[in-house]
Amino acid sequence: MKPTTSDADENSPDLLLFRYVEGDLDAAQVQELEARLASDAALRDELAFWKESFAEPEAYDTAHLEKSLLVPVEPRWTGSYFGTWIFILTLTVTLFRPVPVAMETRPVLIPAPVSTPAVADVVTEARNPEEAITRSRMTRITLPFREKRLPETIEVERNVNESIIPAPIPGIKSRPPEVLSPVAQLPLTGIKVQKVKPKPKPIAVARTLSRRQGRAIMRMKEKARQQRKADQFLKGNVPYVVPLNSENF
Amino acid sequence: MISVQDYNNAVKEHTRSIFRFLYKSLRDREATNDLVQDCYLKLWQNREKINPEKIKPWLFSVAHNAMLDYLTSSSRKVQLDEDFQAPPVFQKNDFDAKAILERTLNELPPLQKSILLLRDMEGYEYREIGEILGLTEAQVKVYLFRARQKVKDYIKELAHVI
Repeated sequence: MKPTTSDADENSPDLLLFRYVEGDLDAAQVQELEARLASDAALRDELAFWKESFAEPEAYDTAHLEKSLLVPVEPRWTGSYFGTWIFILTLTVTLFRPVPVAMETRPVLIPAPVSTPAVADVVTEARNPEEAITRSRMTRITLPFREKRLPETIEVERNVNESIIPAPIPGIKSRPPEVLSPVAQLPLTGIKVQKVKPKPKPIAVARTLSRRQGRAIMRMKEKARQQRKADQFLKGNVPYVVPLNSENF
Repeated sequence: MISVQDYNNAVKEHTRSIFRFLYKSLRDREATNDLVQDCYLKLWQNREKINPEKIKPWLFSVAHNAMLDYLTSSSRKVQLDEDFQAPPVFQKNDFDAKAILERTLNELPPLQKSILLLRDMEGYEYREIGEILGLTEAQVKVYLFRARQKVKDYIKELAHVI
């Protein structure tokens, strides 16, 4: 049977004290009750019993129970994906970064200008050829490795003890003079320091195939071979021999 | 709709309260653990129907019904163990207020006990207790009055005896 509020007397001290401890009384009722409590010792004792009727919360250790109830959350792979992409990017940059080109120098012999002796002053046969050569300045010639433009001048070291065979300078079309001057006939040596940029070595990536890939390639090759044989057979290039069965005869 | 995160948060925040609520009524740790697990199992099974903001009242409601079912089923069982001993709370002879209150709570009907526990330990209002237990606010108030009156009378009686 459901209880109703009519079961309790509205003016009973119990209900009044209950509403007092529950905090349901308004200010005027509280003031009136406290005035009664101040003068009534029995009512104060009754109020003390009412106050002891409250259950006190207790703390229990439920950590093990909580652990058994928790649902493991699936790990999010966002961070791992991000880390993977960072790793791939780093690997790509490391492998395909431009290799710094080491500039190496090598001496290049510059042949003597046969066509036009680039001698500033006029050399005559009366003068000492060696002296004239020593004082002369030749036109600087830059081989067309990088730049097509020829520089103005070049200083050339000459070694008269060594003789070189003059060869036409590539890129310069000149016609040898019919009569060579003594200066032009002298063996000249020229040492030019030329910067040669070596070609960057291609990065050799070792291609290693896994067993699975190897088997797949073998299957593809075998399939292609069978296909070629079938094509040859269809074209009639391969005779088809029917095995004889002796029982048919 | 309750997500996994809501469920995990509910476990972390309300397990202690549900356990305390049931353990105060049953005084049996194993049975309380089972009932708490049943409550959360039902919570997860009915996750699509439950408002995430009302998980706690829903859990208390399920816990109360589970407790009533357990008490009903356990009352039909015959205790075959001759060495069975009542829970220690019934055998204590020290008349401290806490032990008396525990003993008095065990004497209360389950509904009054649930109302008293929800009010004192969880701090629910009459309306919220009514929503949890399926009662009106006035009924909750009357039940609570009766429960407190019984506890008060019991304590008063023991105090006079001592």
